[in-house]
Amino acid sequence: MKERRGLRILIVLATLFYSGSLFGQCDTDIFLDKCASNLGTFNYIKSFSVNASSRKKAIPEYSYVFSKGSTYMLIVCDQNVNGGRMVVTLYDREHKLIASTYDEKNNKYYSDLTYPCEATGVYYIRATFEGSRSGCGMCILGFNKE
Amino acid sequence: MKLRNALFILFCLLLTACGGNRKKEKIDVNSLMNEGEGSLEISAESMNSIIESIPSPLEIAMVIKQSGVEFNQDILNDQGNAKLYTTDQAKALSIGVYGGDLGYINIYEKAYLTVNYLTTIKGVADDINIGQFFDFSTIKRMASNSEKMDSLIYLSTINFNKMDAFLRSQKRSNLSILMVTGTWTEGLYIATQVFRENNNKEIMEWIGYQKIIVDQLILGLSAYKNDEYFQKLVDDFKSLKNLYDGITISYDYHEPESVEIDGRLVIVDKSTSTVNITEAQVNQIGELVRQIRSRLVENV
Repeated sequence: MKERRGLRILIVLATLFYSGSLFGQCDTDIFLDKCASNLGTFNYIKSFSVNASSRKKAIPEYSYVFSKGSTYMLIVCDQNVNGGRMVVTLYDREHKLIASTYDEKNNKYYSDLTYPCEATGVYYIRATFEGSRSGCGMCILGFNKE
Repeated sequence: MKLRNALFILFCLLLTACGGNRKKEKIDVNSLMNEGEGSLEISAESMNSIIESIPSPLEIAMVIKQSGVEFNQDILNDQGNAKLYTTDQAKALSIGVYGGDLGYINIYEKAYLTVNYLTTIKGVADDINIGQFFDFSTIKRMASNSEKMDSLIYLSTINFNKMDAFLRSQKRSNLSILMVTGTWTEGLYIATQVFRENNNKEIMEWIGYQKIIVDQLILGLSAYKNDEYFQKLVDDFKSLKNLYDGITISYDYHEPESVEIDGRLVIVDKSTSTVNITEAQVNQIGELVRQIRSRLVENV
């Protein structure tokens, strides 16, 4: 009897962990295959895997040095779940907001943003999930020069 | 009893999952310059941030190509040098150097060289157990079709990113930081060599803005400076930083605006940066980078 109750607890706990991010079930390679082509004429630089969990306090943040004269594109690639869309926000070297792929005023989500850079420096990219702190997705960074 | 062990393991996993939310430390590289011999403690998160922030070699390669200068194969690190790299550190750094060359080769669309250099990179990468990310049948197929050059560039970049991510996931960030150091140094070397030829203003400014990267790399490399290989690199980069101290970067901030063009989000940002650098400073940097790079590629 005791053994059976223990087994149930074990199954419940295992299910909880499995559904979350503990075992890294966020397979972002699929996102890369799906969304890299959205870069069009932009050159792929890198991708940031976003595996956010409500258990993690910090919002995932990535940094990259943008160069003056280049145009950068950030692609949002997520599971496209209603109520759980991924939002990518770009900040400058002083963490001042530049833009977000979510337009709060018009309640509109964009799947990418294009940033012509005229100030070389470290830029910060943050990814959050609408309505929740959990989610799985990828942010793809590309560049181009006129 | 077995069940109790299993529950205990799960409990331990839970504890692991709850950790790891350390605050990002902010370290001033200038204070580091005056510090003693010991290694600097940097969290895995900050190390990742430093490694990820280093710009792609494709960017400077594109600036160089747009300046109108011809491709110069003599600038590249000789493939035959691969046999000189006998330690894990030298191998990781050389993968980065060859990666910098690959960016330059790719932007000039020299597909035959892309395959040659990727073969060399894979050989060195195999030695440190990160060569498994290269899919040569696909690479060769793309290289034989000039219309597939974009895909070849994409695939080369993916291979590099996977090697880097794998190293970091295996707690081998020491090799990862060496890879990006090699790539960046090669990019700066190529840029300074090209500048000697064409005195291009955009290349000159790009070289000046690398002041930002020197600071980042000194921080990253300092975490391992108990190792003699790293200590030498830190010393080299501190000399480079001394030259960069004479260069200033200034910013003029304006609030950005977001506009929608054809349903896509485009940012209009009038903020600008200016770098104050002279030709003499570029030449000094170029000469020092040449010396550092020469020591690295000859592994002396």
